[in-house]
Amino acid sequence: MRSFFLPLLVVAWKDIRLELRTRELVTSILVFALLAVIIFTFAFDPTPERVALVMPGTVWVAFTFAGTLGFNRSFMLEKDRGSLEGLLLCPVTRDVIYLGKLLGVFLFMSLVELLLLPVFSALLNFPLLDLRLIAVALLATLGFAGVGTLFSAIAVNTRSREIMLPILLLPVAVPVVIAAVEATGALLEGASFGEVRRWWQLLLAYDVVFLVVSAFLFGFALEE
Amino acid sequence: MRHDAPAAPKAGRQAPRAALAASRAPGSWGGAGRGDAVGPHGLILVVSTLVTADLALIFLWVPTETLAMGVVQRIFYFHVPLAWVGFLAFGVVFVASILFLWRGGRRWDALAHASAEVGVVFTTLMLFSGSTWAKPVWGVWWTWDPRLTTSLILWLLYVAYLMVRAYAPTPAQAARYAAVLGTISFIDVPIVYFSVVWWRNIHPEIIVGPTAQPGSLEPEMLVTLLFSLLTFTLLFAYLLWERVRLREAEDAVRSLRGLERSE
Amino acid sequence: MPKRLGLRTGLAVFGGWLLWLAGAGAVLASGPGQVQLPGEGTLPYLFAVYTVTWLAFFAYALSMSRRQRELLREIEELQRELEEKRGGQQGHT
Repeated sequence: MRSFFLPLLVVAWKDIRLELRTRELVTSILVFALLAVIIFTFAFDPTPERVALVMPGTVWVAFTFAGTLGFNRSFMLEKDRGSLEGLLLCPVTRDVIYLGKLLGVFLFMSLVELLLLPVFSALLNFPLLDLRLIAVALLATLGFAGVGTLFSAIAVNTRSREIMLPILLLPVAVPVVIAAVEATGALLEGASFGEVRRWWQLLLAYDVVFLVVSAFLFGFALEE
Repeated sequence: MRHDAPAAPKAGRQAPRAALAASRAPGSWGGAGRGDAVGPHGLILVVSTLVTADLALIFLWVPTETLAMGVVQRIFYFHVPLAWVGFLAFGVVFVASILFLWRGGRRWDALAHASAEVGVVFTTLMLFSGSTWAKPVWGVWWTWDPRLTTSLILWLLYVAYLMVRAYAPTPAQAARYAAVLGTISFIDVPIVYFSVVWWRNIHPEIIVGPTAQPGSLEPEMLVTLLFSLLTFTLLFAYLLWERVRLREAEDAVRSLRGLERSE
Repeated sequence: MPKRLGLRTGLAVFGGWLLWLAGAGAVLASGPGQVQLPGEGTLPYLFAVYTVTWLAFFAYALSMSRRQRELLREIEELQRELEEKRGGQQGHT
């Protein structure tokens, strides 16, 4: 157990320490997501009824696109600074590296979401700070980051790598986006957590399936 | 043109095939060698006959649907087989990808690559034929019905798959990345389908009118459909075989180039 | 290269025959004077699907066979160069 979780935390801690020093990743995702929502409000003229209609989608599209940018950066830094080789030389299995990287990315994304939800509540005049909503958001972020981490390890090695990750990730992440948007919309309309059961169950199933499969496949994506 | 040398002498016509066979790495499908014996020519003949018979069935034999759609219903005998072959092709990609990751070997990679490309061709035509059928029958080119949406996502998944293959720096990396994607994408398809079904159940269907296929197929229609399915499956087999052969020629050229450079 | 020409012409003729069959069949299927049928005026859609589908398959198959031929020629070329190189080296030693 220790030999599994300790290296995992070490890999994640490496990314967190780097982030604490530079604050590059969280800042850029945060500003991007904020900008995306602001641009959206120009597109639909924010009367209260319209906000109620399009707000869940807007917020999740912003998080999705911001997330793709974030995942891209996480492996690009490793690759460009040559630290990927160092990571590969570590005496741990590939799935530990995967889960460590995933943990880092997941924490950054969740932090951005937690910081932005109150801001969006104020801007769009909606009570977004809700524990049930946060639970759905965390589940969605985990699934999204799970596939995103695997795909960014692939995309970073291809030509035109900035555009490759969204092209790979967005179709696979369709269930996450649908479930997150639908659950958010229903919860804000006053549905109980039990009533949106199918959506968080879908997210849960997605998370389990893709975390396991991705952890298993990650080694093939890294091998030089 | 790179080749300004005179054309090969008549006697040497079989030479490139022999050369291909000689330069091929062990563990390939060996399509080209076999091709001279039974070859694509035999298969072409079978597929051509079936296609002609299929068209005759569709256009001359099967009765016109008279309840709702009229002649345009005949698209159905193309559309359904195109969809079936699309799924079949991506299923082949999935199995070949897993075998490649598990056992290794360029032949599985070649099969997955070929099947993905042929599958994208079929899926593109499936989307086109479905859309063209929907316009006169539903009055719109597209609706976000679960099956349509899933097909579109399916198409996008495998276009991305082919893009990664094209943009990977080395063939070895292309093979590994593609195998990872071929596995993930196929697992994703049922999850996408269920999520879209639930999503559409929440929003009421906007399009009304005579929906989808007639509830029960007349026997002639069923026979035509089954024959069409067989025809398209064999057409897929032929195209897949051609594509695998092409891929092996590409590999042979690459390895010969490497050999030349190393000498 | 009679065999190569044969396959290509054969494919082209077969393609033309298919299109003709599809067209004639479509006209026959629409039926003369059956004005009461539903789906009146949908024939162009049917025709579009059949034409595009078969043209796409032919274009795909033809492009594959052309590329295959180019590659086979290139393989032959490379192999000849390789043999010449090897022959040259043996001549020197």
